[in-house]
Amino acid sequence: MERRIRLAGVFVLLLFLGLFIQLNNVQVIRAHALATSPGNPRTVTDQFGLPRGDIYSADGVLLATSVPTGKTPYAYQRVYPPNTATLFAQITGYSSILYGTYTGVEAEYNKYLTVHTTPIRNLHDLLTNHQVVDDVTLTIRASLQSQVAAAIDSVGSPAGAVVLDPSTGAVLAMYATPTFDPNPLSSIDIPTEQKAWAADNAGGYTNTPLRSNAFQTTLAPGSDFKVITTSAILKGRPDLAAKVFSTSLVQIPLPNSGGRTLHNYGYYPCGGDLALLVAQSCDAAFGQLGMDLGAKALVDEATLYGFNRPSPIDLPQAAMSTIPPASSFTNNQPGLAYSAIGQENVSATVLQMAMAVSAVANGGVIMTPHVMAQIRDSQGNLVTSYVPTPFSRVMSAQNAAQLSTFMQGVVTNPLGTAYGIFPPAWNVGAKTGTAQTGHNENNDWMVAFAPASHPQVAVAVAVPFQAPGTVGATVAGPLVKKIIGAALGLGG
Amino acid sequence: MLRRPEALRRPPSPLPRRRTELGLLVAASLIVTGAYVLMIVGNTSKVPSDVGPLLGAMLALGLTAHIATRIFARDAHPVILPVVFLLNGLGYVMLTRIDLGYGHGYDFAPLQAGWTAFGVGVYVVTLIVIRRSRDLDRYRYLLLAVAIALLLSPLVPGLGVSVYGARLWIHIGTTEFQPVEVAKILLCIFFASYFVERRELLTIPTMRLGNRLVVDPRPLLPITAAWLFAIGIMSLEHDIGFSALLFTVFIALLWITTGRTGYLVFGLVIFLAGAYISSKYFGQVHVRVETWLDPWKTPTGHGEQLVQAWYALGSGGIGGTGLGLGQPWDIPVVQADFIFAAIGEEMGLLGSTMIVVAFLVLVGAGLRIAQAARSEFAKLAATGLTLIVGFQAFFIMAGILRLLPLTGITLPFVSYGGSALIANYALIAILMRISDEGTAALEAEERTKRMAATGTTTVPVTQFR
Repeated sequence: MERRIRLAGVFVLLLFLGLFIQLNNVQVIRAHALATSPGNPRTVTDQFGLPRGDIYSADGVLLATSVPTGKTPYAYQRVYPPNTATLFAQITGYSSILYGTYTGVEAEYNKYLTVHTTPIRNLHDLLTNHQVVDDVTLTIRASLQSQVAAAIDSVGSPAGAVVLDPSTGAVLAMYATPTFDPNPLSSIDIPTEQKAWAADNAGGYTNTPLRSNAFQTTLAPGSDFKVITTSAILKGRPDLAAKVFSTSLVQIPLPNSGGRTLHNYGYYPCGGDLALLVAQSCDAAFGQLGMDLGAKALVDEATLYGFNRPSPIDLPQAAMSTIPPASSFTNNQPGLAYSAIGQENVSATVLQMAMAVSAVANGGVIMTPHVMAQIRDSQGNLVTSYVPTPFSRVMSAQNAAQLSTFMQGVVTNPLGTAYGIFPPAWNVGAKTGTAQTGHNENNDWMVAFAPASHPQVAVAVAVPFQAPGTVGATVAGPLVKKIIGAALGLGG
Repeated sequence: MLRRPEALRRPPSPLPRRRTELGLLVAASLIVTGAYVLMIVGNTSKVPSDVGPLLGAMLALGLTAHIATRIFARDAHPVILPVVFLLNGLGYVMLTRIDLGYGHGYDFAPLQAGWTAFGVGVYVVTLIVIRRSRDLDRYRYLLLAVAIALLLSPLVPGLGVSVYGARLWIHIGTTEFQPVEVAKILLCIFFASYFVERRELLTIPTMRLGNRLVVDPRPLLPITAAWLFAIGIMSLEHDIGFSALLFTVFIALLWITTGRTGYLVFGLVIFLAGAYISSKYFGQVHVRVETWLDPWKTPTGHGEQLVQAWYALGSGGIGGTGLGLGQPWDIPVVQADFIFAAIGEEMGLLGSTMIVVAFLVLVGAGLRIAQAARSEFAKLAATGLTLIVGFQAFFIMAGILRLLPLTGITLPFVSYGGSALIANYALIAILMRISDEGTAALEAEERTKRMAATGTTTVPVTQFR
């Protein structure tokens, strides 16, 4: 019996050895995978239990930082200083424990902002603690952003503006209303967070400030789209580029539409050569040009500009601008005519239209838009900086120069839709847009660049949901003027 | 010259065994208190104000058990009580930590402290009441009757309560009691007693089957009936853990008594058959097997406990998150079956291994006691009781680590639960009783031999007890 009791002991010993081996499997071999598994609730706690890097504007204003709370498990509170919180909310994003953790730059550059391990490059690195956070500096100057915000806020209803440096793609300002305060959404106090979330989503899907009207929602671009239509004409159809319309053109018949016509805004007559058509934003003529051009050429051109492609900006959840596929216009020539003037089913973000005008300002090349300028470690050493890269070569430098001249005509020609808005010395090229949407509302737009000789800014402004009868020039024009004045230091 | 034989007198106290025990008890108290301080500092960044009272209570309970042992079982094994106190104390620290994690309104720890005090009381009373292990042998059918009554009690309407789908609890006043915890001890003692009595019949082939001699199965009938009855009741109560535990101990004791491997094979076969049939036809068992094979299929449903336990263990890693610095509350019902995962999270592989080793020490000590026991019955009873603790700890730890399907039993002395604590303290007291008898007899024997060698008169060992 003694022998069997001893054998039973050996058996229990083996069982417990099995426990020990499996413990090593779970707690050593598989430990890292388990600890960092997305389902592990500790990953969220870890993120909010550690400090994050700071976010700065291009002019050195602190936009986001981590402040110790003295509590567990959420030992750090993300703080967006009150002066710039709503101003930059849609760019910096928020860091919410409950709702999708990070958005905006917080999400896009999380791997730098969050505590991470730096690679060991030398002996010093080997001996020092290389758990670090890095700071992100944006391309946006807080001073310009606040001036743009002042202009957009003055509208009193949803509106958005994007200012790009056409030669680099750097976002110089990007602001839209409504905006929000990221602080309560980032609170470690769960009820505060829930309350802010409920309030920010009260407007429903179409009207939440959590989505920026500058790059996360799309609108019919209206006649701003004629920049792209003209680009297509200049590129492939010299015959159309040379076509001269009667100056008393009011409307054109639409084929297979049961007698419908496409008429000019307010039935004003317009016509002439392509330059004059652009200056006057002649809808009837552009509708005809669009049908003559053909769906494939128009849709291909829009795709080249960025339509139907994921937005290239370095921010998450940027909306895609869209135009229906060419095949859908085969039996829908009226639709093609309307698409050529930026209505019907064409839909674009403000950012997309700023990119379009930046092509004109930059010799036919759209640079990839970006908000990150550089990332530095806590000692100030450069970790990485954004290297400007072309997003798309949309037209030749020659065509860009010609289109630039056309757009300057919009401002300088007494018949131009933006005539008289800008001081001649500013040398602005622009295009207005007034999309009449089906809801008996107008989306008032303007895209512009300045100075035309060596453009430093490309601007797009959209003010949707305006009363019928308002136009891009009168609603968006003054905003663009304020923005260009501020961006170029020329005053209002 | 005729001298009064020294062997007739017990050596003067204090005995070295009890001195060792006292030292180890103080060490266990200090370790637990240290863990408590670390946990509170980790959790609240403040040194707790009740360190003194905690240490005092630990030492007081330890001393109570120690003094009772000194009086009533002074030759018993010195390591058992300290290991039990270490496990119980660390369990208390983890429960305090879980209370803090859950927030207001949870008081597992204070209740557990109360049950611990009660358990130590039961330990002392058991030592006083059971003066000789053969008393247990004598009353075996009474013990069986009580065990069956206890097993039946949760099925009595108005008395029994279902918790997490298992009808294992009864209401007594305002507290809930799990009678199976006590029944497991009584059944184990009954098995031991019965097997020893029928040892020959169970071992020696007497029945002719064709031209071969086989073991007469008839002596097995009553005990198999008793065992089937117990298992039957437990399946009515939807409990797998204790059924599996008692079955394992039953087969182990049968084999240890007889040495016939046939019983092991037979046991294994009917166990596997039973497991297969119940996993096919009993919903609860089927779900347990499914979640055992892949808990990640239902990470927020049936698999949640295992998935969260593994996340906790993985996050703990080798060194743990530190006491008070993890988040064990993410594991559902962590205070009971899954406290091992909480320990693994906050104390890491080092802590979880420590728990495994502590149980191994307990099993080692228990089996040593069994080998030194004076009677066959005592040997078998000590082995059975030890295996109950060992297998119960193994089943739940292996369940958490997915070596076995989860059986839903508590980790002895560590998990939250009053009836389990009380029953396990009683179990330990019986072990200590058997140990005391065995060691005393052994030492007396050795002294007798020594004196015989020096020409001193000897008296038969059994006379002085």
